[in-house]
Amino acid sequence: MRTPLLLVARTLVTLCAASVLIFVLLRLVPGDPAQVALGVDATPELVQATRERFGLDRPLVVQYLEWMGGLLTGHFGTSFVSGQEMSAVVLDRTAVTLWLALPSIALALLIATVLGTWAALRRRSVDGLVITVGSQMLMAVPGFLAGVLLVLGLSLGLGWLPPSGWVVPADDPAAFLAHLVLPVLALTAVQAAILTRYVREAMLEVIGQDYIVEARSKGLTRGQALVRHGLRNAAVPVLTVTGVQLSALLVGAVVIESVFDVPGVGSLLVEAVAGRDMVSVQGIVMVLVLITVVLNLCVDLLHTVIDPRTRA
Amino acid sequence: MRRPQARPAAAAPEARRVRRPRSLSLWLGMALSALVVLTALVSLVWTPFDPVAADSSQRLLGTTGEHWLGTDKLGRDVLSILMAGSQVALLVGFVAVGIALLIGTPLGIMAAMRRGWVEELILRFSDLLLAFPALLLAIVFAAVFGAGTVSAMIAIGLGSVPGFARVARAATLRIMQQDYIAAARITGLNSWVIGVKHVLPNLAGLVLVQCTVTFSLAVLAEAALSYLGLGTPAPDPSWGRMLHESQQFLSLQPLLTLWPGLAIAITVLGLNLLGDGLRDRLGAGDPRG
Repeated sequence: MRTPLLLVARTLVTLCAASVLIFVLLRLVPGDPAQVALGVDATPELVQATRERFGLDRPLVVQYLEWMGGLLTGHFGTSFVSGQEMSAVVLDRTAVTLWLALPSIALALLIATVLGTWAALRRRSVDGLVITVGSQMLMAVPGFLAGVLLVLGLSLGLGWLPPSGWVVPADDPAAFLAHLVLPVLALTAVQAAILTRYVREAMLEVIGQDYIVEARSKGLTRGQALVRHGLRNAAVPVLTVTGVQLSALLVGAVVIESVFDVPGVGSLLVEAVAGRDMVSVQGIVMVLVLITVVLNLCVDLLHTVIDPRTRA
Repeated sequence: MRRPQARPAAAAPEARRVRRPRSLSLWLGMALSALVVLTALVSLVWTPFDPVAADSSQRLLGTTGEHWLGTDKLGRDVLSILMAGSQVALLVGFVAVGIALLIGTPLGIMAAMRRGWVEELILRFSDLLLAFPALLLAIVFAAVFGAGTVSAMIAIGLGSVPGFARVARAATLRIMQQDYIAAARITGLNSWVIGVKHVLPNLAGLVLVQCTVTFSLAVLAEAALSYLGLGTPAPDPSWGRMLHESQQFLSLQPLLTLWPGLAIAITVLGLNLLGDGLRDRLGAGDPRG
């Protein structure tokens, strides 16, 4: 049933359905879209002109198809509010968010693999317990609190790093990195806590298996047996969670972007919502949904690669 | 920020044996959750001060004999806002969990019992909702229906439906293999009766665990939304907005930011521990088998 082709086909169906849902949802906004964008003070003539200029007087199906056609050719539509084509802005901002999200998830996965394996191996001793309890507590910390605490300690307290803001990498690489550290740390801390728990549980499950016992009977230490034979088996559940967490991270970054004044796609979305700029909201949500769906697909495909049993 | 909805369970007997301290997590989780619920109930009838009454002569006080946790930028008593803020957190949690539970569980059971095109339809619907992380759905709802507690609750609830559907479906698939279901079938019970009398009681434990997980996700999502200014509107007390408002005084009054953060963390920690404890107590392993 789970052939790669079927998975891809399902993903396309989900994407189409999601795009219709987004389009319909954003047409539910009370009032005329042009009026909403221009504000209540706009003259009827201006509203009518805007409607005609952006094709809002045509049937919804035509508008939807045009939006879709635009998306497929890389055009997100023109904002009623700023009159700008949104594609360049949305993609720029998405790139900024990826600068935060990708290092964070990679770092979190690395830390979690080490700490989780450690906690599983040393589960009866104090250090294992410390890791378990620590990750449990850190999991309960909202990302923005982690961010604020980091600013308080490393920026306002010790003065090591700038508390907020963003520098384009090409302008000043050193300043870019300095501004990147705190938001990435804030995202990493919470994600690492979540992933550590998963790695630990996956490892605990693996420890009791026959092939580990066998590997030990041929003379490997417990640590060697786990690293050589356990990690691969523990990888399936852990990678699933990592995929889910990465898409959560991209949306969750909206809060961290707000804490650190980072111009990512999340803060663009919040600005667009506040400014009643529905064309932008529609485009940004579609990009985030696209990323989420593709990540889910990647996780499913990875499953069929790592674990041939699921290819039944 | 969305958290994972189910965690890989330790099926190996050895793994189960070593996790003895978990009954501690059940009691600790219950105690912390009870503390939050109690605070919310008390704040309904009594808080030290009126949580929305501003007093410009009392702005940004530190800890004083009168104001135990100090006052905020408008001179409101922080302890009172904290206490009242638990109401919104719990309200959003309960309603969101209720929505997800009432929609997701029947869908999951139905998918597993009917199979065929019904299952396919439900799974595709679930996929569609999965494409929208709860926080994203909540932001879209805020854009369409206006920012507020109601749209936040509904959005977070809908975003949590797939989790319940998946847990219920996987558990039902396993339950349907059991002898007592075959026996019930032979005696000629129709599938509605089997579903309600035999399937539902057997997956109650798993669904309860899912409730606590979803509850803690909902509390975090509400706090994040309010922090962004897209959740509970002023002046209704909300921990997320409180944190946002106090952030500009971070170097002046750092504790002001810590209190609401601590309140959120305690609530979420309590719910997570409660979920872990219940999972172990009820022997509810990985629903995916």
